[in-house]
This record gives sequence, C-alpha cells and structure tokens, in this order.
Amino acid sequence: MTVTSPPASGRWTPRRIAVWAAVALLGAVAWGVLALARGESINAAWLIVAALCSYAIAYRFYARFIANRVLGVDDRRATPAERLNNDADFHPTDRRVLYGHHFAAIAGAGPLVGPVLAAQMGYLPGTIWIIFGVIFAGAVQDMVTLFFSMRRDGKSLGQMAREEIGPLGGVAALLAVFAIMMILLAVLALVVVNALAASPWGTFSLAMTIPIALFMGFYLRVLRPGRVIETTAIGVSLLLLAIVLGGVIDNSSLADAFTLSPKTLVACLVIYGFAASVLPVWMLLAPRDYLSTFMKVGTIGLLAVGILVTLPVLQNEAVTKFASSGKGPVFAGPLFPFVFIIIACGALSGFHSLIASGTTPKMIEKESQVRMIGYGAMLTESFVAVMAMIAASILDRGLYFAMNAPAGVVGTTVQSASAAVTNLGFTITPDQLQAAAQAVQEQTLIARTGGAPTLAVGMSTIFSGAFGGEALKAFWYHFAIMFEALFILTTVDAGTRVGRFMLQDTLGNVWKPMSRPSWRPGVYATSAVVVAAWGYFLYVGVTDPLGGINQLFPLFGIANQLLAAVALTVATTILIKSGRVRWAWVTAVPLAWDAAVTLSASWYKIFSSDPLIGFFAQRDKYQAALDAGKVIPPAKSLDDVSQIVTNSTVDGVLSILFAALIIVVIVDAARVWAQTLGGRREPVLAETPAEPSRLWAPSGLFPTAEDRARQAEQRAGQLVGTRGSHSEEEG
Amino acid sequence: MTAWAGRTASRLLWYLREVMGENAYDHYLEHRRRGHPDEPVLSRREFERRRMDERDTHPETRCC
Repeated sequence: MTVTSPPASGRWTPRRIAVWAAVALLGAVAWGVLALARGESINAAWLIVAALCSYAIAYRFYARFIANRVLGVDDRRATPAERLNNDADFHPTDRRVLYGHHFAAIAGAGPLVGPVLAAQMGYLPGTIWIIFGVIFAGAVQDMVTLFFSMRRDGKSLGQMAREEIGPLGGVAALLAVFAIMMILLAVLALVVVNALAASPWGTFSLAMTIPIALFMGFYLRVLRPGRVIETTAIGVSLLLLAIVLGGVIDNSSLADAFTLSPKTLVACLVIYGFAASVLPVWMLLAPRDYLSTFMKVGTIGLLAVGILVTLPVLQNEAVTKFASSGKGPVFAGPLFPFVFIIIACGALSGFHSLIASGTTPKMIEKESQVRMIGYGAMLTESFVAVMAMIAASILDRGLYFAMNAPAGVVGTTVQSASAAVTNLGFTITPDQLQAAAQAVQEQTLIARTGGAPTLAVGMSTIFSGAFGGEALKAFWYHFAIMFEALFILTTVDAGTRVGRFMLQDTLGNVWKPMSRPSWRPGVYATSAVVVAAWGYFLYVGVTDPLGGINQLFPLFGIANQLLAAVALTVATTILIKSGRVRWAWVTAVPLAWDAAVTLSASWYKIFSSDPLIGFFAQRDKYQAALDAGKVIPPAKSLDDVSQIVTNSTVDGVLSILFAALIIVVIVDAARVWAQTLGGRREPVLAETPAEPSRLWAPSGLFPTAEDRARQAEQRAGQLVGTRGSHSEEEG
Repeated sequence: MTAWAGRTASRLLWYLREVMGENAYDHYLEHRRRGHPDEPVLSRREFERRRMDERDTHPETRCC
C-alpha cells in the first residue's frame, strides 16, 4: 500500500482501470487455454489463474452490485449485533474474525470430495461449474441469506420460510432441513468408513483423536480455563504424534487390532455420534472442534502452497468419454444434471444457508460486510474445490479408476482391477497398483471409493513433491486421511447434536418435557433416533453390493441442492415482496437453474429405465431376478439381491420425497409472488425496523480512505468502536 | 524490517486469539466495565465455564 492518499472508493483512475483490465485479460487467457487445449498436458497453474481472476472480478463487480443495488446495504442502520449486544450470541465481531468463523463453519469435506468424483468426466466440466456456479449461485445464496437473516435479527431459514412464504412452505422447509442432515451425515460418515476400512494406520490415528480431545477438554476446563491456543497447540502436537505412531502400529503386531471391517466401523461411528450428542460439549465436541478447525485451515493453506510450489501437470483429460455416455463407473448418469449434483459444496451448497441464518448474522458489525463474509467466504470454499479437482486430476487415470470404481466393477485383487481398468479404456498393470499401495503403506488402493483416499494420494503426491520427498509419502497420505476424517467426524458429531435439538423442539410442541434440555430420557431418546436415522443409511451404504457411494452420493447432492432451492426461493420472495422485482433475477435465475438441475436429476433417479441410474428400474431388475431365484452380479447371493431390492426402493422413495418437497416450496412461493405482483395482497415483510447505528467499521478487508476518515472521527469520540478494531489503527 | 515483522506477528497473534475465542474474557470485562461499572464480575474460570456450557444447548452446525 502506498503512503499517498488512495483514490476515493469507486473513482476510476487510469491505474485502477489498467489493473482490472489486466486481471480480466489474464483470466480470459487462462480460460482460453483450458477450453481449447486438447490432447496435450495442461499445467494446474492455468486452473488457479482462471479461478482467481474470475473470483476477483466477481467480487469486485458482481458482489458489489448485489450489495449496493439489489440488497441496498445501509451502514447507517444498526445491525442486530449492535442493537441487541448481550456479549453472548449477539455481539459485534471484527469482520476478519467473523470471516474466519464463517469459513470454518461452511467449509469441510464436501468441497474436497465432490470434485474428486466429478473428475471422472474430466477436469473441465467440474471446474466450470465450481467457478461460475459459485459466482452466480453459491456465493449469492450465502450473501443474500446472511443479509436477510441479519435484517430479521438472525432468524433461521425455516423461520424465514414460514414468515415470508407461509406455513406450508415453512413445514416443507423444516422437513427438508432434517432429511438433508440425515443423508449428509450418512454420506460423510460413509466417506470416513471407506477411508479407514482395512487401514490400521488411519484407524489408529483417528481413534487417538478421542483421548486427545478428552485430555484437551479436561485441560481447558480444569487446568487452564480459556487458554484455547495453548490447548490447541498441545492437541495438534499430540495429533501429529498419533499420525507418526500410526506408522509404527501399522508395522507391528498391533496392526490386526486396528484393522476393522466396514461394519465394525459403522458401529463405532454410531456409538461415537450418540456419545458426542449426549455428553457435555466441553468433554468431546468443543475440543475436537478446535482441533478440526485448526487442521482444516492449516491443511488447506498447505495444499495451496504445495500446488503453487510444485505446479503439477494434469493427467486427466479436459472432457472424458464418460461425460457424454453417462456410463462412468464412479457415478452413473449424463453430465447434465449429474456433475451439478455431484459437486454441491464449492459451487452451490444449500447447507450454507443454515449457517448464514445461524450465528453469523448475529455477530456482523456492519451491513456492508455481508459481501466480504457471505460472498468472500464462499469464494474461498470454491477455491478449495478447485484445489481438490487439481489433486484428483494429477493422478494416473488408471489408478484413479481402480480406486474410485466400486468393488462390484474392479473386484478385489490387483489382477481383477487391472483387467477392469483396461476394460474401461485405461491402463495400469497389477504391479503398478501394488506399488502405488505400497508407496503410501496401505494394503490396497482398489475400490477405495468416497473420494478421500484419492484426494489423499493426490495430496501426498503434491506434498511430497513440495516438502519432504518420496520418503514422506506415506506420512502425507495418512495426514490427509486423518484431516479429512477429523473434520468429517466434527460435522457428524455437531450435526447429530443439532439434529437432536431440532427433534426435541419439534416434539416439544406435542409434549412439553421433550424440549427440555435437562430431561435425560428425552435427550437419550432423540439422540438415538437421530443416530439411527443416519446410521441406517450409513449401514446400507457400507453393505450395498452396488457400492454405497455411487448409490448415495447423488442423493446427498440432490438433498443439498434442494436446500439451496429453499434458500433462493425465500430470497426471491423477499425481493419481490419488498418491491425490488426488477432485481429478483439475481436470485431467481440461480433458483431456476438449481430447480432444473435438481428436478431433472430426481427425474432420472425415479423414472430412468436404465438400472444403473434409475432406482426403480434397478429395483425391478433385481426383483425379477429374486422372483426367478437367480443371482445376478455384482450380487453374490440371493440375500444380496434382496438387499439391493430394499435399498433401491428406499432410495427411490427418498428421491420422490425430495422432489415433492422442492415442488411444494416453489409452488407455494409462486402463489405469494403472483398475489404480490397482481396487487391482490399487501406485502408484509417480517423485517426489523431500522435504528440508527452509532458504530463504525470498514466494509472490506482493507480500510478505504473514507474508512480512515471515519476512524479519525471515532477517535475524536463521536462514534463507538468495536472490539478488535484497534488493530486497524496500525494499518 | 524487524519492526514490520514484529507488527505482522502481533497482528497474527491478535487474529488467532480473536478467532479461537481466547480474548472472550477480556471482551467480557470490557463490556461490563462500560455497561455496569459498579457490579462484580465473574472470575475467568467461572466465565469460561458458563461460556462453554452455553454451547451445550446452542450447538452450531458444521457444514460439509
């Protein structure tokens, strides 16, 4: 930053014009290289440049337009954090700190897993969706939901749906939230199970996080209250030690004790989820959350540095043959709509609307900061997804398919996998498969579906290239597995607890004692129902002869996008009701796209006559086999066949439920739109009335000249500062 | 150069303390001092205990 006074915000100096023109040109060149290169290897740097330039332009122009014109952010108006400041849930928080909180809450394993699976169609379709999806849909959803919730004292998405649309839309939204959480938890837990099964190293390291968390909880509670950084530093050191020790365990006689079958792991996860839900948070949940947040941010940063240092070359094609045939082994179905379903987090994630209407709106200092926190944090998550796409695309294609095709396709031996991969049109020899597994000290890499092991191999390749060399490859692999499993488990335990409270609240309306947090039988019963709900789908996913990930992951994507449709519908309704119909396209266009994607994916899943895609076609095929007493592969017995029949039926019914929910919400909202636009209904907004603000804080990351002037006024005693803003004075 | 490094380090530490919630007690004291200067304040142990127990009944969703 120069010492001379910068131009007033919004003024176009020649220098500023030149900078933005250069950014646009660079981005255009990068996109051109990605789009036009065929049959030659592409460096990952082009993906990074295309992403960063697109984000910069979107943030500078589109997000600013939405904040100022569409939403009409008004910094003279006090936010709930200022008006209702109780120094507990409502309190003004420095924008950079809140950005950190918000990012840690929205980002997890989702943006890392989806792109790995979508890489089967090539790097280009997924990357285009990740970048343009976030700019026009995902980040918009997060920002507008955050804004509207902030204008309503931090109301939740469900409450906003009820107040702005009506009771029917409200109930559908609430049901959608609960159903989605259960599927989400099951699919994420399935990723963990697939990563840890038959891996004593990974299982040991992850198991150690529990005693480490218990120790941290005790330390923080009894020995050193409030010393979070110190506690986390101890925890992280112990965690790294556990990863190193895992390597020792792996080569010792204890290895068998930590070699668990998928079914045993399911039982462990269910018990763990239940315990985390009923125990006080200080024991297990809070310390694990500190660990996982720290590891998450640290590892994502490390990945970015690793990619920038090594600048790897992509092995993946831009667009593979599976994009058009829709017969890929990782997940079945054509590019549209399935790439947009498989990559939810990182491009458009409905789940974020729960966080954007949760704690964040209660802590925001100034209305204009919704751009940096809502839009900015989501752009960051999108960048994480781009990095995951890179990590998956630098792997040898043969290895990628041997790892990601279900066991029903590739079998269980290196010979069968090598033959199956050759069948798919790629090559990898049995020896190469064996060597790849040995390099990361795993027993096998065949059919390790779920994305996490693939990502871990990609990350270990990047990390060992950047730091430590080949010798550390196995360490980095297990480091990556551990960090993914760690924050997936944090999502699982927090989600179980949140689900339990939602259930307690709902049942409390029928029978009062249920909603009391201190009534233990109610706590145990609701926790058991929640773990049983996701545990059922997890068990089904683990034992499914057709492969759990390719069956369940599309359902997870549909569910997540369905929640996005609810959030975008609520936002569009508010825009229309507040007389801003000419700007309603900002949320209505992504809503239309999202509805098209979700409903056509549901259509395929319900009505497709291809048993690989349609759940009911699948059911009919295996039911016919069952009736004839025939065993058809990949089923190995009649029990397998009957299990497939049950699973397909359940999955099919769920698809119908999800599609019905989305239609109910949109139709109910369209009724409100029509009434409002036709003048048949006086729009009633549930917005809290404006009160003048006495607080000042910058809008963006860096304070502008105007911000500095206000700062001088503040120092003169005319305005009240907020916590942490002192550090601005040094800038 | 050293001044710059020192300032950067102190800002990073400030950020880390804020994000992890280590400064919560200081903010609480500040809040009490401004709003209710004559009333007694909680000890750090008691404050942290209440702050943590608050999370028992207000769990935060973690996304995917």
